[in-house]
Amino acid sequence: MSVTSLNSFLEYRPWRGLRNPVWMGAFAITRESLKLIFTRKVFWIVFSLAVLNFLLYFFGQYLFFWVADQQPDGLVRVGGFGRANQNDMMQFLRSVLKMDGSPETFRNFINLQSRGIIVLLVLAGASLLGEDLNQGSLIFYQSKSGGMINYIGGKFLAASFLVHLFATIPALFLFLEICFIDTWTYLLYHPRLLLGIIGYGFVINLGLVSLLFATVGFFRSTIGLIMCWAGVFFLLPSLCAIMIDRLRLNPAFRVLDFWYCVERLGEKCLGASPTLLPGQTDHSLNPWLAAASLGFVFMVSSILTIRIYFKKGVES
Amino acid sequence: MMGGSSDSAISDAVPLWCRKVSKWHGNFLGLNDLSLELRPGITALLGSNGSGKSTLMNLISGQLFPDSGSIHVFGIDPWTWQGKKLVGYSPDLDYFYPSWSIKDFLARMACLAGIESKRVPSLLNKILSVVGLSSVQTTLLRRCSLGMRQRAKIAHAILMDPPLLVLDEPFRGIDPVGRRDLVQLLLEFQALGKTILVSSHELEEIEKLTDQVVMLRSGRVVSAGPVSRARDRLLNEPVEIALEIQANERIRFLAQSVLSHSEVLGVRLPEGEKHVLMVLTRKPELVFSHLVMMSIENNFLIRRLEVVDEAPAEVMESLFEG
Amino acid sequence: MEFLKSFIQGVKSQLEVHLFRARVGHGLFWVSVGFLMLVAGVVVSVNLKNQWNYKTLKPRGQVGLNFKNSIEMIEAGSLVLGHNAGVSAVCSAVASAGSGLLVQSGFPVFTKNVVFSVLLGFLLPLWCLTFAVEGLGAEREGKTLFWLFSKPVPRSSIYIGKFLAILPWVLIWSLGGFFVLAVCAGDCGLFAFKLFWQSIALASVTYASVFFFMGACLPRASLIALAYAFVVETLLGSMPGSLKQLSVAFYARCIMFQKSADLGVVLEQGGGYGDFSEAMAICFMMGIASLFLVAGIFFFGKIELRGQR
Repeated sequence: MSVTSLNSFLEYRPWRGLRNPVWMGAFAITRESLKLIFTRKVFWIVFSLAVLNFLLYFFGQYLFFWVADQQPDGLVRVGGFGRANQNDMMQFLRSVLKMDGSPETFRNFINLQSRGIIVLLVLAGASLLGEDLNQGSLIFYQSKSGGMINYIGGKFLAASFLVHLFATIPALFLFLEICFIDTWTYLLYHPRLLLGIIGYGFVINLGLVSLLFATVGFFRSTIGLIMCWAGVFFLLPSLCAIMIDRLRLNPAFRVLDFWYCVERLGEKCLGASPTLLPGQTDHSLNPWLAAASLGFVFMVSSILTIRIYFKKGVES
Repeated sequence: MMGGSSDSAISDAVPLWCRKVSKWHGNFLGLNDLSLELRPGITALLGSNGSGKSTLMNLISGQLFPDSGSIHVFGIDPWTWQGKKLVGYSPDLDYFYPSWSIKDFLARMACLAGIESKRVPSLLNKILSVVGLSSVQTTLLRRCSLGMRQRAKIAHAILMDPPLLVLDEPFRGIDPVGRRDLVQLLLEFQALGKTILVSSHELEEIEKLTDQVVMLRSGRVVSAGPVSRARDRLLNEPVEIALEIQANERIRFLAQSVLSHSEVLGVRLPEGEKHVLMVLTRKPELVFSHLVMMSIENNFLIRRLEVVDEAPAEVMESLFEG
Repeated sequence: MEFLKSFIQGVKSQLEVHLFRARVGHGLFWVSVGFLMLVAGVVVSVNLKNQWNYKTLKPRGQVGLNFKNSIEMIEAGSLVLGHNAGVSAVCSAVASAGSGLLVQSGFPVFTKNVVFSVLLGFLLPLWCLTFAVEGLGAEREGKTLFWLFSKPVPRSSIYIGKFLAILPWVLIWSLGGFFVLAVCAGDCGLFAFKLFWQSIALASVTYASVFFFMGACLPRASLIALAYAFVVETLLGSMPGSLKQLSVAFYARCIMFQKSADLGVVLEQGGGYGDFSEAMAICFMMGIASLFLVAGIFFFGKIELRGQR
């Protein structure tokens, strides 16, 4: 190799490519965090359970509309299993399983799916956020031009993606399924339902992800996270049940139960009629109180998050 | 000291007696049928990473239990609590109680070891000055430098004044002055008639300490005894060279022509790797140049040419020439 | 003999070194405090609304008596009942009048809702876990077990000594927490505390033994202990049927059930808590505690310090 060619090889060349805007870095963080979550076994376990639940609702709806399509007042042949009374089946699907494309269908479906999200976030949330604080890798994000805003934004997007992957997107699929099976007039008659599904998704998103940020930032470990979330999702509901259902205190105390408030808001978004759970005596929490509860959690979580992540020199 | 002794009776006077000791770490054989006997004095334990040094030291100090074979320290099994009295062990781990000061740490360790509480202050003063920690005894362990923690470990090992000291990498992280002091300290212990087993990569210090060396390789004793014997044995041990070439059709021809060299003891073609030829020799340098010449003459391209397991040779070279 | 001497010495030195240096994960301790404050707040607010205060629930026809009188009456009655086989009719009448009062007071309400469900089923396992798992678990996780293992004392003495060193914390925390809740609930709470504190103490010792075993012998002990607390103690423990007999809380509830049944208060119909007598339940709990202690000593004695080749 000649001297000149060596020189040109070693010569400093200015970067001639195009740079992405700084905020695009958030998407890279999102992508990498999601990859991290996808490598976890617990994600695939929870995800397969969620898919099972989705399939249950998918075929339940299908069955409902198929039965409704059959000859009126006759017997329906179900595969090779024999015959069933059409009215009985309709009745069962409509009032017991509530798989009739009503707002209650979507409420129940999203409620069930969000249990899965809670389990997933509580077990894998530490690897989404806490590890960076624990292992001192936050410094890499702090040193980039986007800084912590990109980091928080990227992680928020990643956690939100998980929430919508489990709740909103499958619910929209169910909605589309009904449009296809029934008629597209379903969409015209239920525009509120479509908006409600998206709204409920965002309520869950806001509540869970902000709670996740604050608790992970504070506890940094899965153990603390589990204990704290057990308090929020288990102790608080049972305390409220004792106070209201057994000791007949003012139902407004349910405002303490964060998750109840989220579900209540979702119910309002979808326009579903309230259904009492076994043992529940009252179901009349003012939606504004519920919204206040969610807002309070969001505020406190945001303040905690800012204090933890934007403090100068986050120690690890 | 002698290695691999046969059926000598277990005597209470023998500081360390290992017979046919094997230890598995999962699927990995940490120690393989190892027999060893130590006499009073300082013995150095050499070997590359993963050769089983720490496993052996953990077994001697009773932190591990052998899968087969037996170990006796002055006639007592070190795994039992009675055996722990006889071995002072400074492990190659760096985990402490971070919120304790050095003095508290040693005082509490003395308490756990069952040393009478009225004896503890004077004992601590003595030991802290011996290892050179007197001036920093109130420093919290989490603020200590690596060298200070290393000294604290040695102080812990000599706390009970045991007849057998096992020190795993004691020179790591200690500055040159500290090393000199430590060598001095160990020589003093030797003069007191104690048995000391030291492992280290700091070969300079090992040379100053002793010429009794035990060399481990893949969980076996390669050589045991004075340094000169170890060198002879090691330098004469054949080495295997891996040769990888570009195209495989000529590998048999190549094998034949390599075999014709006088220093080549044998060749073999490993299964599954079509381009590779393994050459066994005692003089790798000569064979290296021969192979290179051959490649030029016969016009084939060498992709890789390396000594497969050169760890002991390397260690010995740096020990005697470096 | 020599073994015994060094065993005692080992336990003594463990206590000396570790008794006042219990290590607790920083998050877990504050969660425990938070839970206590939360439940105490709820109890106070119920109390303020007079929902289990005996004063609002005065029994018909016995206006003159108050709660304290009734407790005294019960105690007087049961004292005579216990000591004298020839029962005087007056005493038993007094006792039954007292228990009638007790049934209608806040005592069963408080016991059922706070002690049975929240305290035994949720708070107590978590509180005990916070301290007990960390006992040897922190040494395992922090890889500091070597410093204990290199000492010339039997492994069993290390295990027992460490266990005894965390036990006071567990007891202070669980009895203290119970006491705080009892004070918040007022007279009926204090009565429940007086009646039940031994059973709570026994339950916490049993929990401590179970969780201490997990911390000493299992990898990822905190997660396993949490899973055990939620699945076995909280879920199985509150399920109908006989599956709940697997939980420690069940036996504690049995003792409490018997104790209040002796005073004429039936706490929970058909819960199966009457199937075990008080003595049997105590034996079961002590059996579980000692079983885990023995198992812990056995497995702890076999631990090898790996991972440092």
